[in-house]
Amino acid sequence: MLRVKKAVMDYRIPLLALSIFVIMSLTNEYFFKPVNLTGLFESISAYGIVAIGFTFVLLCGQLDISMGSVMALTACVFMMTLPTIGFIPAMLISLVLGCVCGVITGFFVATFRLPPFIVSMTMQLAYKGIALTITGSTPVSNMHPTLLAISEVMLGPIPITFFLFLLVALVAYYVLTQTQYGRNLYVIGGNINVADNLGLHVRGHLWSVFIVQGFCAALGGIVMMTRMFSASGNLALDGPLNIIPMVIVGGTAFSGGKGGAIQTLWGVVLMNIIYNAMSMFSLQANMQEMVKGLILLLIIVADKYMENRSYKV
Amino acid sequence: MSGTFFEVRDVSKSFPGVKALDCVSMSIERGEVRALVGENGAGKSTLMKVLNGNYKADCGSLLIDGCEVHISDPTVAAQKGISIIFQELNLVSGLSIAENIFAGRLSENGKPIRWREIRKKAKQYLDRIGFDIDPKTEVGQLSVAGKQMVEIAKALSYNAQLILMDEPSASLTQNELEKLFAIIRDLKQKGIAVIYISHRLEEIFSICDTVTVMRDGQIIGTSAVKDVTKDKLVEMMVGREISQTFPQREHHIQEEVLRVENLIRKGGKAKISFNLHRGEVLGIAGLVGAGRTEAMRALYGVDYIAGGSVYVNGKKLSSSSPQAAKEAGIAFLTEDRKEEGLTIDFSIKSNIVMAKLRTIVKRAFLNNAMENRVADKYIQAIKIKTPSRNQKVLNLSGGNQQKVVVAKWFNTDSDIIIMDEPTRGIDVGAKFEIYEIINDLVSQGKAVIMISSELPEILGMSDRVLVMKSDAIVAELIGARINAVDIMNYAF
Amino acid sequence: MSDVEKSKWTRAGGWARDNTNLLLLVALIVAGALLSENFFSWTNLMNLMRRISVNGVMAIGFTMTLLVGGFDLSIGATLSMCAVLCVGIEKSSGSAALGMAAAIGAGLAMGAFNGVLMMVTRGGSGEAFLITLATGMVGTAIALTYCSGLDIYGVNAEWYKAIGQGNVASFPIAAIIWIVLMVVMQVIIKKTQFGRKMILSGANKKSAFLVGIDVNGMKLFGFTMAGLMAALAAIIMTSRTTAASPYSGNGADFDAAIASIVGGNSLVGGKGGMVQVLIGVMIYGLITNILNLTGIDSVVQYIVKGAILLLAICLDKLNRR
Repeated sequence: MLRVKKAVMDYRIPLLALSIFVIMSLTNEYFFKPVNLTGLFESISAYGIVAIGFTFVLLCGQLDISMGSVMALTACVFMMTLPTIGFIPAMLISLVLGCVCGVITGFFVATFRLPPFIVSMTMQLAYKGIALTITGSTPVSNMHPTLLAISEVMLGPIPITFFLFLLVALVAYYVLTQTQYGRNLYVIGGNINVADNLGLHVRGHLWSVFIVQGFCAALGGIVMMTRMFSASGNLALDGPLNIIPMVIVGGTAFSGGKGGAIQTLWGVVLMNIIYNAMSMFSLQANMQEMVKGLILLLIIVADKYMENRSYKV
Repeated sequence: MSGTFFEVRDVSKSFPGVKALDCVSMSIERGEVRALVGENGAGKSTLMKVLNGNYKADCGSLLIDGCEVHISDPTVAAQKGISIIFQELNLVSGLSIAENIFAGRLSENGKPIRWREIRKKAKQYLDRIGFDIDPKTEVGQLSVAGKQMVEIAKALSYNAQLILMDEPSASLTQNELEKLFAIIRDLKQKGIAVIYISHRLEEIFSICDTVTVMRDGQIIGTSAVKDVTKDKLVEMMVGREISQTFPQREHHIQEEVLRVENLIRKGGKAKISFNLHRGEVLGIAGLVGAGRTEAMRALYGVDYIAGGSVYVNGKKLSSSSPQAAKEAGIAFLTEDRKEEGLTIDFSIKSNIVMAKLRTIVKRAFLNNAMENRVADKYIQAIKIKTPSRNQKVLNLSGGNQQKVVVAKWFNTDSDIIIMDEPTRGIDVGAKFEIYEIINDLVSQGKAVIMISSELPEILGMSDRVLVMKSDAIVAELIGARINAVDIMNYAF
Repeated sequence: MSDVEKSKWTRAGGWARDNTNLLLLVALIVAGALLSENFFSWTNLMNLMRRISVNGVMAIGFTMTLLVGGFDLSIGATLSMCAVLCVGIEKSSGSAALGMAAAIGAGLAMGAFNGVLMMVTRGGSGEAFLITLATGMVGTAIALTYCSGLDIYGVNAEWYKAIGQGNVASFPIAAIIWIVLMVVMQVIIKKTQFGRKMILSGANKKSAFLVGIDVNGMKLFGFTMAGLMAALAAIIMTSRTTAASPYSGNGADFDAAIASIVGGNSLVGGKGGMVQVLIGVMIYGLITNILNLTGIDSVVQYIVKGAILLLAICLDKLNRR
């Protein structure tokens, strides 16, 4: 009996995700329809990839909320260059751009030691601003044949981009559990003094995770284009709102040193199922945003409260 | 000289205002277990940190087998075969034992980590010290003793030839201590030298071959353990002229002013009860980790309590909070004067008035002229050395910073003053001034509780001494019965 | 150089470092004068004052959260929320006073909500950032739900419009309100026991707690003030534009933050005051003015302002020790 209890506790996120999925499928007639399921998987893919990047940042005990704007900027660049230079080059440019964004953000945090929250807040607005400038504040739409073709490759209701997400998650899992670099992130996030005493290059590691997030944000933005076919500076404005709960609920904490790629994967699946279920209950779009905001708030407050409750101030 | 395994030659290290190490020299042989004893601030931890590469010595040299080595950081130290086991253990609690042992060395050049091999190797080192545990276990789940074992295994994995242990027995049970001793004896047989820092003299006689005594940053002497007695060691640690470094005082102990009943902090292991009288200096002795600071924080309401009450002049405190304690007339000068005693970026004058703003209020508003007057009053009275009352406290020396803290609480005119390590990190001259201040306070009919890890201070200043261990008060010594050996005995 | 001369230079350098905000303000005034001939005309200056009043009041609120050792990203959302509530209720009930009361109530409620969450999590600026990020999103959603995403038009009462648009002796009422609020706050901060305790709790919560200051209560006060200021700013803004948009607060928190920090208020808590707010808001207003005059795209302005914020934070960090 005790072993069952432990198993349930350890696997609570996947179990919760599957339970809600099953319940919704049985009780709601629109949920299990291919149209809805495809949308669900597409959402999981796009946000999931970005969430994996964010996981790297949190593991080190850092924070970066600019992922939404990086998605927007890279997606805009992608869509703008797509007609002229073709799919692969456009994708490469966007991915590199994502890394560059990460380099800049990481520079201010790792080298200048400025508080990550202010830097990423500023960069979020800066990247969004750049995106709006280069697109002239109008969305860039393009039903490019390659994009269309990709969006049609499916396994039943599951789009191929979902498998891309799985691939990214697996690569991340490998890096985080099987490489020295990945394990170093856990040490840095877990106890930075130990990291210093071991002679790990803390600054370099910190810088790198921002670059990883930038890359993932760019990749996620491109994936989103296979669904939306249109990019603007205001894309993924609610990026942090969606992604932070996915990662925290999955089991990676703000304090760092805990969590991982597979945990995030399940967190992404669970939260997207919840968001999808919410939309089934014909809640007004704004009410949904409000509920999402409250969920985020609850998660943040619960996490911080548990951390600090033994102190009086 | 070349026969010696490890040698420290004329090493000095200073910090602003304090000379932590003063031309320290010593040498150790392979397989020697050397005890390093001395009061807090004697320089033991500083010396260890220099050997481990955490600090860089100002001058002097370190030699291994006769060759000079430059230990610039902990990784170099590890390479040279020196490992340290800090009191605040250097482990990541969320990771496994195996990973902690091999952190930073899990694989070469980006090749995938072979976890099975890592765990196997870890198990080998754990077996070598007789620690039978699954290397997959999360370090956070282990007891302090377990964590120490992991640290020792880690040191072995670096082929340590010299292991420095800083207060290893502080939180161990008798059983765990025996196990630790067995491991040390085993290390000795393998030719590994150990430097063992401890306050617990009994242990030293059980496990160490030789002992070095430090005091005020200097080496007082080294001898074989069989050639000294505990009393001789205490005498060397504490220095001969105890009575002369403390001001004279008349003891007029009056009525009870504070009574604590069954106080226990949240997560504490024992309840405490004691009282305090006007005109009395109550010393609280004990080892680091005995729970003295925690007890005072619980009394003052800084931390959550699980039960108990505090009475001032017979009246129970309205709540467990610093507000209530201060209103009742208790002052609390904390251990950490920089982070808790002062608002470090602010001026001397704002720090002095911050505990009782009522003293600078005129017609409902804060008055700048009054603030200046109050600040000047105390700057002169306690002789705080500063060019201006507007000087930021950050820029003062340790002794003067402590004086600002004292001035702050003077301004509240409290009857009960709790001082936690009041003279830590302060030079001799300023220390004497603080002692004079304490005596002055009690002669006015106030009461002082003084927590101190410096035995001379406890002996020289207290009318009565409480000894604490593991959150409980284990002994009370009054007047003539106060002596160093008894205190040390009770403390562990 | 002789020693005396050298020390004069270092002292001058030290003064320059401590007062970069003033120097920047002077530089901007000069730049403004060069770029526009009627810069120093009364009309122009008064228009400037009127324009910066809304941000000015917001910056007061933001600064209060900084002073207690926090940070507030939700004030923009509170501004939107209070704006739509104010105009919406004024229209539906016919009473501007009721609308104003609703706005103030909502602002206080939002601020207090933030404050309570900060108390519960024993939060510092990192926690404040995350918490107000979330409450801001909730607030924006509330604003959008209330007006179904559409702008609300039609403020009627003349006296209400006067707040944002009127003058007293040719000095804009909006600016007068802003200045009066700053004076009141400054007196509280610098001259009352309560204010001094507030500053101490933000500068070092442990030492403040040890002398019996209610550190948690101070956080509640600081954040509630921020909510109140956002409500008052909403009133001024809607009375000037006679309309309310649920997007009116977008970026307003960023503007307030830049103004406050560039003016010299420290992220670290307990350092700063209303003088810094005054300087910072004027600097920010002048920068926006100059950027507009030179015809730079509004989105590029965003980036410029972001760069300025980063610079200001770097300077703040350098100045700290």
